[in-house]
Amino acid sequence: MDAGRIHCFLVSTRGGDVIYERFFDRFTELEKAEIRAAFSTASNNVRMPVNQEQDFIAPYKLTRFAFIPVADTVFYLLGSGEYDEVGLVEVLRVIIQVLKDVLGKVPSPGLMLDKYSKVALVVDEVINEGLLEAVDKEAIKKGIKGKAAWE
Amino acid sequence: MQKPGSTVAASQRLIQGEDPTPTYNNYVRSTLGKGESANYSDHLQALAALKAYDEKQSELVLKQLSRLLQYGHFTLAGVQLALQILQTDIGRDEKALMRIVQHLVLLGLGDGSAGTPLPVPLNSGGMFLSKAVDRLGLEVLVAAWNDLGNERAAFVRKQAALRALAAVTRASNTSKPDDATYVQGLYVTLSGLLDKVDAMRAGRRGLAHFLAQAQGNKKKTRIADMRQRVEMWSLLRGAFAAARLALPWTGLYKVAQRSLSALGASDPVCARHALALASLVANDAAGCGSFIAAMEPLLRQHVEAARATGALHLGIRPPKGSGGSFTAPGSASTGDAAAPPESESHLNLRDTWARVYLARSCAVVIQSDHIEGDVERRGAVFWQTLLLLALADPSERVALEAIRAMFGAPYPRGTTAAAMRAPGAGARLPVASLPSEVQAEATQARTLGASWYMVMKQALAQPPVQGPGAAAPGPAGASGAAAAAAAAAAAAGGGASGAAAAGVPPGGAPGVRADDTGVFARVAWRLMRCLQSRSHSLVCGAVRAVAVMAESRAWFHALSGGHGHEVEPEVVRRWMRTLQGFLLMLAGDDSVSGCERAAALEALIWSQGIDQPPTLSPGLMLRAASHGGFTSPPAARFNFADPWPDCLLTEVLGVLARRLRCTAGMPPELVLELAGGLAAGSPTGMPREALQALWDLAPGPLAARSALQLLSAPLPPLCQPPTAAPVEVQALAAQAEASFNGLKAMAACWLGEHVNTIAGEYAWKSWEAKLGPGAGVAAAAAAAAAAEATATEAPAGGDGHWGAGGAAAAAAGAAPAGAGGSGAGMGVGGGVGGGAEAVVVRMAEAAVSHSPLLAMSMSHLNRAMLTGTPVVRVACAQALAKLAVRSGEPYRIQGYSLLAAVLGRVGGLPAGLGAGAGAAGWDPLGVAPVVGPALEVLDAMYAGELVLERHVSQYGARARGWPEAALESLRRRHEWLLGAISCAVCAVPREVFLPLGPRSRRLLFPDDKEDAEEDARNAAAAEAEQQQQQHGDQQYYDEYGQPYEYDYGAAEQYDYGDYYNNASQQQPEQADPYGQQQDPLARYDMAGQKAAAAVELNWGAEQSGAYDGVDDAAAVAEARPAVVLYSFHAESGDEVSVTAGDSVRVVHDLGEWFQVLTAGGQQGLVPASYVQILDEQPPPHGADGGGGRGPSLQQHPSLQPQRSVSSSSAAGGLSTQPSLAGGRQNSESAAAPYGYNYGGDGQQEPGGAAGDAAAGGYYPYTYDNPEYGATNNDSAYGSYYGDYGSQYGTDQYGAGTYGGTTYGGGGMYGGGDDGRGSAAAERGGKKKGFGGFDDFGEALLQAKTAVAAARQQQPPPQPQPEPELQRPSEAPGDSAGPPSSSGGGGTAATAAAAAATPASTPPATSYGDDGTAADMWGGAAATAAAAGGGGAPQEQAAAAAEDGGGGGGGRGVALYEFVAEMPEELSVAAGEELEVLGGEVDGWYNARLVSDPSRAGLIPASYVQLQ
Repeated sequence: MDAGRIHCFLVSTRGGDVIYERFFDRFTELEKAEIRAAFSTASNNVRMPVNQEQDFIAPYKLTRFAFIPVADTVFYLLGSGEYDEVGLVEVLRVIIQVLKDVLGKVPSPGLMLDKYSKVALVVDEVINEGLLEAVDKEAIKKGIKGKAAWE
Repeated sequence: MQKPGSTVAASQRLIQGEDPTPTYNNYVRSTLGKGESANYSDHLQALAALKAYDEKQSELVLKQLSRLLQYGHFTLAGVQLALQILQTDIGRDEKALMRIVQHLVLLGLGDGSAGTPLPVPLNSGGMFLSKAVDRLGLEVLVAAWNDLGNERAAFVRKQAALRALAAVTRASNTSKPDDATYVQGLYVTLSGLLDKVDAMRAGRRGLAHFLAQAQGNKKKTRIADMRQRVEMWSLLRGAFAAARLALPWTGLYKVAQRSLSALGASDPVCARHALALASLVANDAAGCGSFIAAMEPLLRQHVEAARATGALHLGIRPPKGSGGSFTAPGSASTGDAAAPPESESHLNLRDTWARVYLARSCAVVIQSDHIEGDVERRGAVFWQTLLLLALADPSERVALEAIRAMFGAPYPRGTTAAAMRAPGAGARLPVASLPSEVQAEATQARTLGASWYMVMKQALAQPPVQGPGAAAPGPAGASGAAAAAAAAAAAAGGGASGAAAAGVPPGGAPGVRADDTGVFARVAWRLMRCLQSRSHSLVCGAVRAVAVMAESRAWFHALSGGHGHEVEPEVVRRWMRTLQGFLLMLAGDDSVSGCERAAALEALIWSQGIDQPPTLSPGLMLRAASHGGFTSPPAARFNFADPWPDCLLTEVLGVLARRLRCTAGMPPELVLELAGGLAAGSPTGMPREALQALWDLAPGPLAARSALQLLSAPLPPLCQPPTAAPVEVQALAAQAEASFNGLKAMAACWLGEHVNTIAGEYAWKSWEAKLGPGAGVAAAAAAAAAAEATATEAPAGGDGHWGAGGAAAAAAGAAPAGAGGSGAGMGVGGGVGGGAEAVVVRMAEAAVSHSPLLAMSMSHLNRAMLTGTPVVRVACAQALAKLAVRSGEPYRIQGYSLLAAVLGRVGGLPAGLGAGAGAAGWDPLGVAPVVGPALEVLDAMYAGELVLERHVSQYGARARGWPEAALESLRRRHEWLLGAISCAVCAVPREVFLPLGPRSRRLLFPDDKEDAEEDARNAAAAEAEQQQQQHGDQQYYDEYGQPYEYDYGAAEQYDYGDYYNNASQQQPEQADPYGQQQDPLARYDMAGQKAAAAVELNWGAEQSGAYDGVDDAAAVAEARPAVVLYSFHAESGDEVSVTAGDSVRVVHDLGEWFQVLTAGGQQGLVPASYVQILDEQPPPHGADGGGGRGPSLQQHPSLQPQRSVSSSSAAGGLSTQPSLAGGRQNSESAAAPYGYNYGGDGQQEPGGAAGDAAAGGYYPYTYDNPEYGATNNDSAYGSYYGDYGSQYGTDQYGAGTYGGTTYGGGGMYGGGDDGRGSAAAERGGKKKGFGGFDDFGEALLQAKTAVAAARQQQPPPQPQPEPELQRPSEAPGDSAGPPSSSGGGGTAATAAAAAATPASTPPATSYGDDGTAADMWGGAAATAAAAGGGGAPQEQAAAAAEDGGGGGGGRGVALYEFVAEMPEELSVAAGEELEVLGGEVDGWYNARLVSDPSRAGLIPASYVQLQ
């Protein structure tokens, strides 16, 4: 299916330290570094208001990425094809929303590192190998607990 | 699937990833608590601990697992461990832990990675991390999906197994794309799963199911049933997702066909995947029908329901109670009333993305062959659905997708990691290049255009619902968590739309009008609302949708052939203008990001020129491209500029490239200028190859112009920061400047590579093609030769005399250009000395094949080479070298000269006198490494050409005559040159490129057929010429291109060549011009008779064909050695072909022609101007006017003595005078007044006053002859003046009488002085005035007469000195005294001269003498011709002469007796009345006697006074 894919999800601190990254393609370490650098450059270049969760977009090679600053962290998502700006922001908002719910408060670097497996599993539930999967909060919550929807 | 060991037989593309032991990076390390290990193996132990899971350790294990997840890599050992644990069952409550293990398995099997950045050694940045599929066999990995075969396995395990299988299949596609093991396995698994689900669904509908439901515990059964259903859908969802992830097209399509049954799945995500697959079916031509059949009834229900609810997805509720947990919070409140019982009977559209896919497939269906845009009937449901999605969907994402699809946007295309990795990714112009791609693009363009037309037809129709908020108020649109992001905007929008439905205009939109309720207005309005959002992504998405609209509109206008406006309602135009205005604002807004601005620019590019003048300017592009790129450091960004990165620029360039193909409203020039604006806006980001690709796509000349513009463009503003700017800004500017220079260099390279093709000027293009159609025939060849001849200082008239009739016309036509060329050539020739002749020849060819584009490119490149930065210089030097090698002449020599000049070589020699060593040290521009090899190659080419020419002259132009050794040497040289060129300069087409010049073709690639054809052609041409000569209707032209009308049978005898020949006998005397001036006294006595005799001798020789006497040993012995200056191609049998550089011997000097003996033993005629006699010093060029006449004087200085002799013969004792005049004219032209204004002294006409005043002592020559005093009308000069006096003293040429009216005046003498002004000379001759300057004409006449007599075997008539004596007595009217008597004629001359060249007026006037004035005038005309660099003044002079002489006609009276010397002439007695039959031609009237009309003939015009 070549209509589009999500290539990378990444959470970093505002300072640029990567908290969690998930690549869905087989990139070399150098390419990963380039992508991180592009994310970092782009977010350094915008004035990110606190607590507004404003979405931003920027290009990277043949693709686009969107990023949303949330509290002390910034969430990035890189996609192509049908995952255009609007779609990426939509996916990002799902993840942010669910994470807030799962973590119990606004995600901060420390909190996320502490509950690292939850972050990883939420992303895993929402994005399956680069394909958008669940978007429903309840279903995701069940999913990260290893439960079926009816359980 | 069961192919153990198949991984061993991996394909060549196996990626052997590395499997390093992961470590933490510094950041993560810093977060470690006290006592926490940073060792990977420690954390892996936590995984192992799961084997013997202890609930008490639950927290610790979870923490350790979390730490394990933080490594950026999961090793193979870890994967194997996780696979083992996956098999174990660690208890019901620890599902969460198992979920982590599943995640780890998925991580190990799939392509991706997760965690935090992995510190890697510096040199291994390009490494891939190892993946399980690379190293582990199927037998190991199969553990990951064992649960799929286990009926009793829990659903979650099955789901995880499905995911793992999909992940490993996808990973295998990356590492081993040729190995179908995993793909087949996945397909088989999915098919089986689908079969099972089908069977399950069939069973659920069956009687048994009904009975089972009826019996037993109803509630329990219901719960079990519900659970079974959900499980089924969830499994199906996993299957569809796996198929979408990993199956190639064929397998995917098969799965997709079965997805239609799952469209109503209670799981919205399952329905989404099913719809995504179904949209594939719809997109396929074969599957579209089945898609329509399946979807139409379902959609009809939805549309009906949407009329009530206002929202498509809410139209049909899911079955009661099923999957409540799947219901979005928003939609949960919608209740579950009146839902259809069977879920399969409707579409589950609660998921936002499901509606996205639905919109896409609806549009595809409408555009398909099945519906063909017929949205009124066949496609009504799909159209209504699309409209509902576009206008009433709560999700903006869906609406934007629907709008884009509605206007024919293509399916989105994803990219892959490999594509991103490819060199130039994001910097390559995304345009179609393969034929299939181009075809697809054209299809897409038609789809877009047709879509616009379809929407236009529906533009004013009422949409099925009023608005998203009108019927389904409030947050109803927030279906699913995915819509949560859009909820706020949707809510706001809902409110706004509700308000709009109530008649209140939405914010920012123009007032709602009656037609704003139509479909298009609603669409535009919704877009406008998105544009005004504060979400960047939404704005960008909306701008993209507008861009699609604008594109489809542009294509429609392009396809409708200019009638596009006819179907567009006014409201459409209004809204498009509104949107366009908004986008313009957006594009100019520096605060928004580059993505949005780029999209806005794309939309504006498409809407250019459709309904208003262009609003896009290069300036706007420049401004837009220098802000919002997120590339520069903040200090520079906020203060100065933030140029776009390459990917954004490439996108816009891609749109520009497509706009080139859609020409409606936007000329290609503007496209290229906009691209230039982009380049200037962000030179750092501008991808060079994308810009080049755009130029390649554009029409060649425009692209070349664009490249030239860039090459000479000033630095953009980005490179010019304020001096006090911060260092970041300065760095940015410096970087931009370097990049801009790089762009310039690229432009130079591009020009060097392409401009030859664009200009259609390259060396291997045959010369015949350059010369025009039909040039292969002899006539055109003659024309070329003639043009060459004129350019190389050969008189055009002379050529006209000798050439074939057809050629003469061409020569006359080419004369002006040739003269210009020769002028320029002389200039260059003076500078470069030895190279002069080549320059002249090549300049002449320039006149034939002039390419302004190539010339402009060369000059631009040269300028950039001299003034640019080093990178530009080098590129320009390379480009010039390429042009020089690839172009034909004269561009090659031009390029050569420019390159040589760079190295300080002038005329092929180093500037410093030192030889090669001197040149090496002088390279101020630093381009010697580039220019040096190129010059070497060019030198070799020219040298080779020269050698070839010599050999051709020796062996002939065909391979037949060549010795094999010479041919072999030629071939070797050819090959070597080709090799050297491709090594040092550029690629050339080896098959057609001839580095040794076009002549080498026949030798290198002999073609017998061609030879035979040429022989036949030559034979035919010769025959034709012979016939023509026999018919005697050859047309002759004088030097002005005027046809001679001497239709005498012996006309050719009257050429002046004989005269020159006479003159050339005096070679030794030419060495000393002063000597010449005086020496002719010796010959003076024998002028007339002897000259005539000599002429006769020569003519006679010609007649007898004595020129063919090759074996005339005496003649050869006497022959003077000479060298051929220019190649000459024989056109007739008399002539002989010679090659530039040949050594020949001049056997006979025939004036304009030499009879030469070539080294090859051939003898024949060659234009004299083509040959430089070696024992004769070349005349000084410096003072020469260089015009058409000057050169011949130089070539034949003997003219002057000859002329002076004859003039002196009558004047007696003042022999130097005329030749002085001639020399004076040559050197000074007529600008300075001569001292010898013997006609002056107050007796002149007013025009002569200046000359009179200026008279005296001006003559620069110091004359030894004390008798000569210019101003002194003393009797000491009586002989001279007396002679004049005797001629004119009492004559009628007094001021008033002959004031340039009756008597043609000096005009008739125009050019007669140097013996080639035929008309004047003839006339002068017929007047038989041997005195003064008339003697020349007289001598000529005598010569002609003698020759005519000789030819007719008649005794030569005696020259008649009488007229000279008679003339004074015949002079009619008042006489103003001897000196002034010439004033009238002088006036006439003055008038004529003034008409031609005002500058020459004073001296001409000062002469006060017909002949002298004519002399002067002729000189002046020549000078003017030289000064003007063209033949125009000369032609004017000729015209003036014609005018002056054209006063004939009507009645006249013979003034003097005239005795016919030729049959055509008319003998008359003085006083006889004549009827002049026509205008004066060359000083002759055709007249008949009034008394005896039967007698008619020619009579000198001066003998006739018209009445």
